[in-house]
This record gives sequence, structure tokens and C-alpha cells, in this order.
Amino acid sequence: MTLLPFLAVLAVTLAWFLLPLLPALRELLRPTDTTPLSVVERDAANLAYFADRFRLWITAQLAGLPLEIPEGDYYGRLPSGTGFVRVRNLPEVLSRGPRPDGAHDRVIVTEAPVTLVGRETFLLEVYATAPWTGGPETTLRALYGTADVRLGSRSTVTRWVHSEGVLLVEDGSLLFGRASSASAIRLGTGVRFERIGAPRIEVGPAHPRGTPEAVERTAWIPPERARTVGDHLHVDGDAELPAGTEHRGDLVVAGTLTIGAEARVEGSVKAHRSIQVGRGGTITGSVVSRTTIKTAGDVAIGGPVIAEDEILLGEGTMVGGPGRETTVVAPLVTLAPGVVVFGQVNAGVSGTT
Amino acid sequence: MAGLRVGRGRLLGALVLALAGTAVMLAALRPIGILWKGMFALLLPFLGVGGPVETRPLVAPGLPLGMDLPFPGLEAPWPALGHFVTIGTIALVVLLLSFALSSRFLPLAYFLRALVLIQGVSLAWFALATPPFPYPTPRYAAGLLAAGAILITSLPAILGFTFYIIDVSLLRKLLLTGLLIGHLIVLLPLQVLVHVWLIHQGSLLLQPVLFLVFGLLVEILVLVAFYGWGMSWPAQGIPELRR
Amino acid sequence: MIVTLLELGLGIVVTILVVYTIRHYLFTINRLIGRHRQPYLDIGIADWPETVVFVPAHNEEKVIGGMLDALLAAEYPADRLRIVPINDRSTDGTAALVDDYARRFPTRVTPFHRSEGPPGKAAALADASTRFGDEIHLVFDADYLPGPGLLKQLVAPFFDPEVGAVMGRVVPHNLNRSLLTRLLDLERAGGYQVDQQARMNLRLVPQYGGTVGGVRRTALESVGGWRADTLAEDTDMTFRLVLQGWEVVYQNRSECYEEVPETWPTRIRQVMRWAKGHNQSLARHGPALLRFPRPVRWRRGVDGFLLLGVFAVGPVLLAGWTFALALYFLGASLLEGPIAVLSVATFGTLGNFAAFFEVGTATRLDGSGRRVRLLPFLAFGFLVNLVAVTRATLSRTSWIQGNHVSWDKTERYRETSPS
Repeated sequence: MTLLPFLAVLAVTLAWFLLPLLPALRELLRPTDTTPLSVVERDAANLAYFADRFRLWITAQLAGLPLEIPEGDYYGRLPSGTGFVRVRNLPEVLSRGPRPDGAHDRVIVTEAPVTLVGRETFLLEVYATAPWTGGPETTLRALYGTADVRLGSRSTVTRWVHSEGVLLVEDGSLLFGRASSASAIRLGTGVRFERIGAPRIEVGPAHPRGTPEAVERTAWIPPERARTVGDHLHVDGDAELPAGTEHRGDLVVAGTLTIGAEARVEGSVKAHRSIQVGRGGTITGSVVSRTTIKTAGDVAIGGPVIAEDEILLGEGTMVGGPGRETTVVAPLVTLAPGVVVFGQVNAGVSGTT
Repeated sequence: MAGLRVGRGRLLGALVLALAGTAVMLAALRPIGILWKGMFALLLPFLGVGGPVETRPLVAPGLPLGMDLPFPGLEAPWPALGHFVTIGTIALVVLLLSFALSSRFLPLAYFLRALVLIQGVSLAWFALATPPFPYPTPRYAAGLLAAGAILITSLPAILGFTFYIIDVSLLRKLLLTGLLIGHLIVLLPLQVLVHVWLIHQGSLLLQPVLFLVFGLLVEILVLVAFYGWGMSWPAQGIPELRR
Repeated sequence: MIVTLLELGLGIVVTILVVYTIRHYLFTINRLIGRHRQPYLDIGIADWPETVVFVPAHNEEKVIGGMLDALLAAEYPADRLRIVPINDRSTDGTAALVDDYARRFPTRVTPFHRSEGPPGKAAALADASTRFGDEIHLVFDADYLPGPGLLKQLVAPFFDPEVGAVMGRVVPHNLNRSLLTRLLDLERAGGYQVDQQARMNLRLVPQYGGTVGGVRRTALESVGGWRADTLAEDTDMTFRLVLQGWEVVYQNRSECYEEVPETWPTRIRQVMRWAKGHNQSLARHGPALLRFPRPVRWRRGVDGFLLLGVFAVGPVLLAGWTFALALYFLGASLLEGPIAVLSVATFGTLGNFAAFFEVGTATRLDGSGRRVRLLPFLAFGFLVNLVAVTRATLSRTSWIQGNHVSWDKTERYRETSPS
């Protein structure tokens, strides 16, 4: 009878076969990973999301402090156990932190206007309830200002900065993460950033803007290869709106799109390749390119500006408008002096002024 | 939900690992052949069916593999009436069982019905056909082992672009490769022995279903099981996965 | 002669399968090393257009309340958002429920009750969409649970004037209910995180899936509105838009929870409905795609055709196995000779492994934990799909045009509305 040896070999074979299936069987019988994937979070569009959450946290923490703590500057611990410094009288206590390298390793809460000399490092968050004026080369993890905030030249923010007043960022600063203001952001030159947002974002010195002159424009004559798709005009290959022409309606171009000086599009434009907008050009809707968008000076764009490679906004270019906030988004964004964006600028890789 | 960001460095590393692994496997084919021969020599008498252990060179087009592929030389009988009755009855029972299963086990029911369908075709074919069967069992066993040997040899290449480019540590990559290949090296001869014994006892009637369902698909399932395990391992340098 | 014919048949089947296998690998490798395209995702602020959200519902009292609550909590300007539950001759409490919402939120919820005309989601959408002139028409199934930021994310791509439809990602939220739900979670991950996003990355044809997404009204009008006589109005819409020159966009980070089938019979009905609808679209649009018209060109034409043919592969695979079985009994040497052995070993491995590679990669990209260990059990899911798809493909409904379509609703399991 050969059955028993066979059953033994069969059992060994089956056991051996099942061995690599043990992790699967274990996960099936004793599940460890059955939480649904996280989906769209509230932080996605709201640049001040982390700042708002911090403000809620810190105000709750401060409200939970014992009543008997002394007036004036105070070193202590928040109810959560995090060390903090409350600065009321002597902002100079901020000039050097307790660590050997001079860095501050506590949460800082300022209740009086602060002007720093520069080169300070704040490893934890700063909550400024009065104007904050940073010196040069200051490094901050995160800062929430309930009043105006000024970051000195070549300062670095590693997570986020938010001001309920005006956020002024001096030349050469580095803004990792998010920078936002409920009022306005003014950026110096050579500032690098990732995501910035405010009702008004200005770059460099104010750009002189005269009253727009009434320009006589002629209707643009689309090339013969253009065809209508739904509500937009589609052009195979390249297209050019010569200077001083006007087109009403959305325009999609399969090649490059050149919009000449003082030309105007009453609608949105998209190009599969690059888009160039000449001086004084206007697009009332959005501008979308699969590669790059480059504007000359004094261009006005009404809607979102979206490029898959790079956006270069020339001097005095204005995107959006008061009460019509919008977004500029591309992996690389360069904002020339005088650029004004009402809304957000999101640079996936790097933004520069 | 972070991306993996597979950079050039990791791609190059994966390529080197895949090439090195393939070279190691090519060099290991001869000892694997010796191991398999030893297993057959030991287990065929243990199973009480005897039969010689034959060898033939393993060849792949354009590749000198250098392996003497051993395989059991045990012939299987042409099905007799008793085989038809026994296997037919078992198939019928399995079919009925598949309909008795609750809807929770529907995939299993489908699998069983697929088995019965193939077995049914086999029963019908052998009822009408006359000997010889085009696939003598020794050749069938050799074919399965040859396909398995080629699969094992190509595993470093397969893992090269499916696993080595993932962000787990080099040690874990080597571990998974070693475990997978080691497992299959042992599984293949055992699987062939079980097949050969079943065909020897149950006649050639069983050979089609064993070939089509319990042949190379078993090795692929093992590959998938190891792969799923490996893909659940944490990323290099990070204690837990990125959730 | 028979052997030659069978070998020819098997050769054709293997060629088709090789094409799909290569496609799987290309898509997966693209997701690992290719550039991730999501150009519209970071549009956080804009002058948001007027948008209507349709929620077609037929006997959805268990789930529609949760859906409407989620929409009311959406971060979209309330004066630009209209919520339209389409109650298509429900016989349960759906009508009363949506009317109650309309009473409580009269400026935001506008129910649309249907008691006439052909039944079914496609017909309901066709009927309702002509009555609302909002610029963007979003569509959600009643069991979905959109997060607060989702609507803006789905509308953002429409700032691109070429975009005709947008699709977000569907994420199962009831995955802890059974092996099936966990397998569907893996399948969905592969389908969206890898397949759809790779098509987006490669500028091919991402599929508008009928939920978690929407269409531009003018695009809808330009292709003649929703078709009422199809089981897959979404697939049909995708290809009518693409053939006319509109772009379909997939946004992987625009995720929305859904309830996946918890029992195999429900799953089979779902797959059969999808397969029939897909096959109808294959018959309608496949030939046009392969003529590579100007808006489509050859790359998108081939990809679109393969996408449409995906449910026809099941029967092709079964045919291949039948040919192989027949050849086996006729004495063809499938494991004889070095080339045959090499072919069977490599194709058998790589072909079968492709789908697992895709799913494994997707879970890795998602940063999931140990759920990917269930990978071998996916073989069960594939087997059931194969049977369901083959049954659907061999049915008349798959290929007959203009047939009557009715509600073929997926069973709901939720017992209470989630908060």
C-alpha cells in the first residue's frame, strides 16, 4: 500500500505550498489594515489651515494656564507640557535662546511689538499677538502673527508663516511650505517660496500703473485650420493673435500660442505648448499651458494661470483682481518686480521673485 | 499618499541586482539539478512506486543553461474502467459540492466547476481516444520541471523591475529573493512527485487537469504570495509605512 | 487543419493578451518612474463657476441622507452650488427624504422627481441635465460621501477650456466587511492609482466613470447630451467627448468614499452591468477610434480602443484556454521543446503577474500597510470577474443598440447615515 507515504509527501507539499500564503491568511483572519484610505482633507486648498489649527491650539493652551503666573516675561510650560516663553516687556530676551547654539527650543508667545536684531533660530512655533519685525537671517519653524509680520532679509521659514495683517518678506528669504496673510503679502526680490496666498500679493517695489488707455482693437481672424468644438475654438498647430487684435471666446491651440502686445482675449486660452503674452495683453479668463507661460510687462489675466512646467510673470503683470481672487500654479514660478496676484501662487517645485 | 519617487540610483541598483541575481541563478542551476535528482532518488522509492530517475539537458534558445534536468521516469497507465468510474464519481461529487456551497464561497464554487469541466473533457477524450497519449508522463514531468527551472532563473529579472525598484532595504530585497527562490526549488520536485504519483495511480485521466490547473499556476501563486508579503514591508529608513 | 486553426486562434488570443500585458506593465512602470500629472489640483482659489450636483437615486433611502449632508457641508460658494437629487420613481422613503431636505434648505436643494420617461440612471441624467443651465454638471451616486474640499477640486480642471469631463478617485469605505470588500479595495487601488493616473500622465484617455466627477454643460450639449439607451452612460460620454476633441481629466487626489458590494452575487451583477455597458460603447465607438480621427490620433485611439475592449478580454481569455485545451488533447506540444517551454514559462508568469504588479504598486503608492498581503486572494476575484464578464459579453444586451435600459441598482448595506 503506497497511500500513507503519498499522504505524507502530499501533506509536506501542501504545507510547503501554504507557507508563503501565511502572511495573506493571517491578514485575512486577523486583519490589521482595514482603515479606508484617507481622502481629500480640508487643508488642501486653505493655505492657512495649519496656521489656523495652531492658533486654536495655542489660544486654548494659553487659556488653560494657571491664573497665578506672574506678570511680565515668563518661562514656563503650557498645559500640554510644551515649554514656552511669554514675552511682554523685554523683547531682547529673544536675541539668544537657551540652547548652546543660541536657538530657542520653546514655543514663543509675544504680547508686545518685537524687533529682532537678526540670526535668531526658533525651533518651535512663534505666536505673535503684536507686530513682529524680524532681523536678517532669522530662521523660524512657523510663525502666526495676529498683526503685521516682517521677515528680515535672508530669513528662512521651514513650515509656515501666517499674518492676520500684512506679511512683508524681505529680499533673499526662503519660504518653505506655506506663507499666507489675511490682508496682503509683499515679497522682496530673490525670495524663494512654495505656496503663498493672500487677497493681494505684490512683488518688489510698487509698479506704476496708469489709467488704462482705451485701445482700438481689431477682431482676430483665426487660421483656416481652426474649428469650433463646443464653445471653444480649436486651432491645430501654432496660433498668433497679432498686436492690437481681439478674440471673443475660449481658444485652444494644439501648438504654441502667441498673444501680441495689447491684444485681448475675452475668454480663456490654452495651448498644448508654450504661451507668450506680449506687453499690455489681456486675457479675461484662465491661461493654461502644458509647458510654459511667459508674460511680458503689464499683462492682465482674469482667471487661473496654470502651466505644467513653468510660469514667468513679467513686470507689472496682474492676475485676478480685488474681490476676484484666483490661483497661479506651476512647478516653477517666477514673479518679476511689480507683479500683483490676487489669491494664491503655488509652485510645486520652486517659486522665485 | 506619497509617491515612491523612483530615482536613477534605485533603477540602476535594481538593474545590477537583477543581473547579478540572474548570473547567480544560472550558476546555481547545476547544483539545483543535483538536489532535485537526490530528492527524486530518495522519495520515489519512499512513495513505493519506484521507477528510474532520468536526466536530460535543460536548454533554452541561445542560452547554455548547463543543467542536467532530472525527472521521474515513471510511466502512467492508460485509463481503465475503474479509473473512469472512480474519477467520474469524484468529479460528480465535486460538482454537486460546488452547488451546495453558499454564495460566500462563490469563487471556490467557480474554481471547482472549472476543475470538473476540464476533468469532464478529459474523461470524454479518453473514452473516445486510443493509445498512445501524446504526452508520456516522464516527458510531462520533465516539461513542468523545465518550465519551473526557467521561471526560477528569471525571477531576479522579474523582481528587478517589480520589486527591486521599490523603497525597501537591500537586505529585504535579498531576503525576499532568497526565500522565494528557495521555496520554489523545494516545491517544484515535491509538486512533480505528487503529480506523478496521482497520474500513476489515477491513470492519465488526471494529467490534463494537473497540467492545466495545478502546474505552473501554483508557482505563480507562490510568487504572488511572496510579492504581496514583500510589498507590505516598510520603506527603507522609515520604521512604519507612510500612513 | 484543425490543429492549424486552433494554433492560429491561440496565437491571436496570445497576441491580444500580450498587448494587454504590456499595457499593464507600461502603466505601472509609468506610475513608478514617470512624471505625475495633476496640473489643476492646487487651484485653491478662483472665481468658481455655477455648478449643479446631480444625485440620481432609485430607492436610496439608506444612503442619500448622508450624501446630501456631505454636499451641504462642501466648501463651495453656496450661491454657486445647486444640489439636485434626482428621485427616479423610488418606492421607498427616498422621495420624502429629499423633499424634507428641500424644505430645510430651499435655496440649496432642488429635488427632481421623475415618474415618467424611461427609467435608469442614464435616462434620469438625460432628463435632468437639460433643465439646469449651470456651467458645470457634477454627478455622484447616492452612496458616495464627498469630503468638504472635493467639489472645488473636481471643478478646478474646468478652468481649462479644453476639459470636457473630470473624474476623481473612488475609495471604498466599507472594506472591513468581507474578503470581497477588501479585494475590491485592492482592485480599485490598481484601477485608479495606477491605470487611470497613468493614462492621465501619458495624455491618453482617462475614463470618466459617471461618479465623483462631472462634465461641462457646453461639452455635454455639444455631443448631444446623455444617452438614455446605454448601461454605461459614463463610458459612452467619455468617448463621445474624446472623439469630438474634448479632454477628459483624471485627478487622483480628488477622492471620494463609496460603498462597494459586500456579497459576490451583488458584485457579479455590478460587473455584468459594467461589461455590457462597456461592450455597447465598444460597438458604438471602437471603429471610430481606430480610424484615428484628428482629435484622437493613433496613441489615444489605440488606448481608447483597448480601454473599451477591456471587458471583451474575458471571453478572449476563455477562448484561449479552450483552444489550449483542445490543442493539448490533439497532441500539440505546449511543454515540449525549448521555445515552447520558454514561451509558456515567461508568458504564463509575466502575463499572470501583471495585474498583481499593478495592484501591489498601487498600494505602495497609497502608503497602505498590510492589505497588500491579500494579493494572492485576488485570483478569486479575477475568476469571478472572468465568469461575470463572459456571461455579460455573450448576452444580447452587450451588442444590441438602443435597447431598453432600466435601473440595475447595486445593493446598499449602510444601516445608518454616517455623520
